[in-house]
Amino acid sequence: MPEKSVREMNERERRFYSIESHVFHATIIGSLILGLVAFLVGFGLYARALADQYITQAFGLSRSCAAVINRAMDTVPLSEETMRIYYSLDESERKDPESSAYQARFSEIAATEEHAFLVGILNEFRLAGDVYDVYMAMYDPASEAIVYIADPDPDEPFPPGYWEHSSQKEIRKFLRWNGEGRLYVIENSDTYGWICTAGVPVRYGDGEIISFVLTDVRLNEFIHGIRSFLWQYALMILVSVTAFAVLFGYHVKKRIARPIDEIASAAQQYIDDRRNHIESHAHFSSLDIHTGDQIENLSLVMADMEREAVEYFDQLMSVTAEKERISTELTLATRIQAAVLPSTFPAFPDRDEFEIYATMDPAKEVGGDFYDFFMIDENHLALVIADVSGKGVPAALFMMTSRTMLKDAALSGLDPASVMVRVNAQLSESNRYYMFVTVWLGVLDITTGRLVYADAGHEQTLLCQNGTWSFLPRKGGVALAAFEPELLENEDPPVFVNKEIVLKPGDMIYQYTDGVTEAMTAEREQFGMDRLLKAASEAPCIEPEAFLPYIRGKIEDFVQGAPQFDDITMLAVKYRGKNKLS
Amino acid sequence: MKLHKEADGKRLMIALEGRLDTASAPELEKELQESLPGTEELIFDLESLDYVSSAGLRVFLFAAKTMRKQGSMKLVNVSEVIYEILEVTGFSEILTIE
Repeated sequence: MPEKSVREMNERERRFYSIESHVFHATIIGSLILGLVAFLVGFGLYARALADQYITQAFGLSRSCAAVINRAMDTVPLSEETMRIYYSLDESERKDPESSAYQARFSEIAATEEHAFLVGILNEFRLAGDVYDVYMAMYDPASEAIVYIADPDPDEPFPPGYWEHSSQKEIRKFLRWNGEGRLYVIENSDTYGWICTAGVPVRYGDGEIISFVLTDVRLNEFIHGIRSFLWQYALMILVSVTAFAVLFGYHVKKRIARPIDEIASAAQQYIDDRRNHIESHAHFSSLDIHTGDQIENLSLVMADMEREAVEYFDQLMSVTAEKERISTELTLATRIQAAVLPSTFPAFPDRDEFEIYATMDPAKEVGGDFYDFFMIDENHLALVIADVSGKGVPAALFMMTSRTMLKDAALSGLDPASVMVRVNAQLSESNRYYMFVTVWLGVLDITTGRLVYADAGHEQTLLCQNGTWSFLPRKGGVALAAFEPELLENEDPPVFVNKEIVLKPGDMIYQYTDGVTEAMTAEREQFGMDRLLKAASEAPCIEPEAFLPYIRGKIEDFVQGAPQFDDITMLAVKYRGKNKLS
Repeated sequence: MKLHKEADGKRLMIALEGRLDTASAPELEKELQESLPGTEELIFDLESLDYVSSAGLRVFLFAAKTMRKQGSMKLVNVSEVIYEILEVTGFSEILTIE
């Protein structure tokens, strides 16, 4: 396996590790193994057949020669005499068959006419058979020697009595031969190389073997034949294997590798087009693959997948577009909601009796917090802060309705508690979604500093008098729209009541929503009323425009970057008094 | 928020655990829409409830209004923190709290 992934390879490496290359190599290796096995089997059979032919030739020649010799003469005396002399010699006398002293002992035999005649016949056969040698000899198992009787070898004719050592065990079977099969031995001698010796025995009348007519066939040709066979075979195998591997590799490339490459490049094109935002839906369906197998199926499945992906993508696009539209509208809703709140400060530049400042920091989602302030008449300033249950568009819509109703009721001159009763009744009328809104409403007489306020389940107001902040006591009050008027009208004391205090010049009130007290750290600890009071106490009756950012900063310090869950809405009014006018 | 429901005939006890806020209120509302039909006595066990937001109060309101027509509803084991929220919004005056 390659060390790097296919993505990291260059063109050359890819070609090397390609399917067709794998097939090519595997084919060559497989075919070579197959070729080698075939060669070994073939070689075995061939060698056997060839060897058999040589044996047959040598054995047949010996047999024919022996038959002719037996007809022509009686070789027994010649053999008998040779062997007799040989046996009569002791080991030291036999020691050197090359010596003239040794050969002189057999010279009489060599000089006989019979010997010359025998050699002549043997030579005829040698020439006619085109073999290495045809000769007569006897084997002496005691001295392990082949003793020559007559040898026509033209290069080096052995005289009678000449012997050669042979420790071949095979040669012993010559003496025990019963006439069945062929008598032969194949050996690799230093002197002659590979040689096959086959022969037939010459016997006495009683059947005892006196000598053999032997034929030597040299196997050099045979070995040479095998060598050339080997070369031819190997060459043939190599050529055919390579041709086969090339053809097979080409076939695989055409049928398998190329279609796969086409599918891969179609997939790559698909990705590229997607990235470059090119609209094209037929990367795979335009593939022209007709292999009729799994690869064609793969290309069809890929085409299906592309259609599916295009469909899914279109759907995703429309869903995303829809989401974006909703998100845009929600952002717009948040802006519209914020825009309806009075946000120009100073809000009443021609009024010196009071200073007012308000802020709303919406959380991520559009929420239901709001503040409001407006002059009811020349001398009365209405202050509203409210929080609608829940979040999102329903809360925003409910907020709009509540705000309008509260303003209408307040402008009609009703006292705060009566405003609450009226708006509660109006909101309860068709409140099918169980929304509700907590409200704090105060009406300040700017000439006297008298503040009348009512509470509908809202947070406790903070009052700063003589430089000291404290919570205004709260009493009764239920969130508007939570409960139908019928449920509340029998409550005693009444649910909505007017409370009143008189502000002296320099006094200040601060109202807020639960986004302030319930602002949370990552560990879910809430800012709470105690911390709010403590923070306020450190900024006694400072200007509203400074006080609100100051409290906001305290909240930020407290939550330490934890996300804001709820709208943070605050309103502060500082009373200056009528006398400031002059 | 975790919600443990215990129904016994026409009596339904729901124990709430954790925070009942904008994120978890829809789950409770859905549960109530499924379970309230046929219920005559609804009890909320708020012992393990840490916080309730206005969205959570809305669901209590929904339950209270539904149960007013078909039986009774009460909140039990209300912790100080939760009671404070109920009190501020005035819910404590109208809902039955034990």
